[in-house]
Parts: sequence; structure tokens; C-alpha cells
Amino acid sequence: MAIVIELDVMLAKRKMKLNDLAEAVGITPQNLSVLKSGRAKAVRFSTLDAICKTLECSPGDILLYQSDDKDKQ
Amino acid sequence: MQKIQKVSGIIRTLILFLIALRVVFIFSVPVSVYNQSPALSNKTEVNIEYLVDVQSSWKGYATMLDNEQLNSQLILGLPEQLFILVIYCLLWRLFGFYQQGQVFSAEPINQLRIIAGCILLWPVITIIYPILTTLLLRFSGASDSLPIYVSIGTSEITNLITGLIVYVISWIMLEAQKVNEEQELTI
Repeated sequence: MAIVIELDVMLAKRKMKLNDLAEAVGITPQNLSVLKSGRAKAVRFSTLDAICKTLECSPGDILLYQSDDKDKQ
Repeated sequence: MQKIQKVSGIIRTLILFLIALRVVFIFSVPVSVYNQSPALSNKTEVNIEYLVDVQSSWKGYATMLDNEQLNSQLILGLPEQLFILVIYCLLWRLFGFYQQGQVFSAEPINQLRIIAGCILLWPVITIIYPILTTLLLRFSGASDSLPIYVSIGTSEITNLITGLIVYVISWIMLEAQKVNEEQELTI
């Protein structure tokens, strides 16, 4: 998919664990894992807002656009 | 969801009752034949031959078979009862999935498609079956004067429309399954 989730990069930068982020955001670690692995079909604004607030970043730091042509290369 | 599961349980019980009723009907056909046998007719006074009624579109053909001294209940009544029994069994299985809470999974949707297929197939069988029966009876020598019988009644058209409606519902359920999957993967 063209949208890449770079949540693990941001978590590493903030030295935060996935479970801690899940607790802070108020969603289950399983759902956060789905988001991190890129299997999620959609992200709610409220979830994105909570993640950005906890990680002190903007949505652009977590969501990246990568063209499908690059994926094939 | 709990409401669906609860009502599905009740519907399943009712379907089970209907299945039992149909099984009684099916077993009544051989009893009926037994009662009609001249050699054995004096041995029993129980007569339940009218338990299996032949469908309206085949009624004319049933009369023809009766005129030929053939058992119309066994030849026409039994396939009808078996078809209804199959539909009930499929419905029983479908509501079993609903009772388990599987509303948007692949199994009940497939089940719905099978039911639609069966309902759509029945009008075709209704037309073909008397023709095949006549040919078979002619070739076997059981009857020489039995005509080729073709009948399309309102029940066949109703079955076609019902089958199509059920088929469209299965498509809608397929779309609902996709929406449900998306909803589950929305974080």
C-alpha cells in the first residue's frame, strides 16, 4: 500500500514500548500492533490525535506516502 | 447481537419441528403405498395417503398418473417433500451460524447462496421432472399413453422471484462482510 506507518521508528526515537503507548492512547496493544504492521484499513482522527499527543509528533512523522512504483522496485 | 442469537435459537427449534413433520410426511408415502396394495389392504385400516399432497403445478400430472394406475404420491409427492426437507435443513444450518453469532462471516453467506441456488433450481426441476418421468415410464413399459406434461404455474414464478431475492440478499451480506472487515481493521 502507498501509505506506510512508521510508528516503530517514532517509538524507538521516544524510547517507548508499544504496550505503554497503547495504554496512553487507550486502545488495545493488539490494535496498535495491527496499525504498526500496516494491516489497518483506516485510522480514526481521535486515535491519531492521541498517538501524536503521546509521542509529541505530527501525523506526518508517523504516516508516510510511498508510491507503489517504489514498492515494486 | 444477543437478540439475533436468541431469536435464531427459537427459529432453529421451529425449523427442527418442521423437519420432524416433513420426515413423518416422507415416511407416510411408503405407508400409503402399503395401504394401497390390494393384497395387503385388508391387514390395516390406517389410511394416511393424503398426508403427502402433490403441488398445484403437478396436480394435473398427478391425475394422469392416477388414471394410469400409478402412485402419484410416490412419484411426485416424495421429490417435493425431499426438496422442502433440504431447504429446511439448509435454513437450520444457516440459523445455527446466526445463533453462534456468525452473521458476517463467509459460512452463512455461502449457506444463503446455496439456499438461493436450490430455490432457483426448483422451478427447473418442476418443468423437467414430469417429462423425464413420462419418458422413463414409457421406456420401462409401465405406461404407453402417458403424455409429455409441461406446466409452469404461479408457484414456479414465485420460487424464481424468491430465489433471486435470496441471491441478492447474499450479495448484500457479502458487501456487509467487507464493511465489517474494514470496521474491524479501523484503529
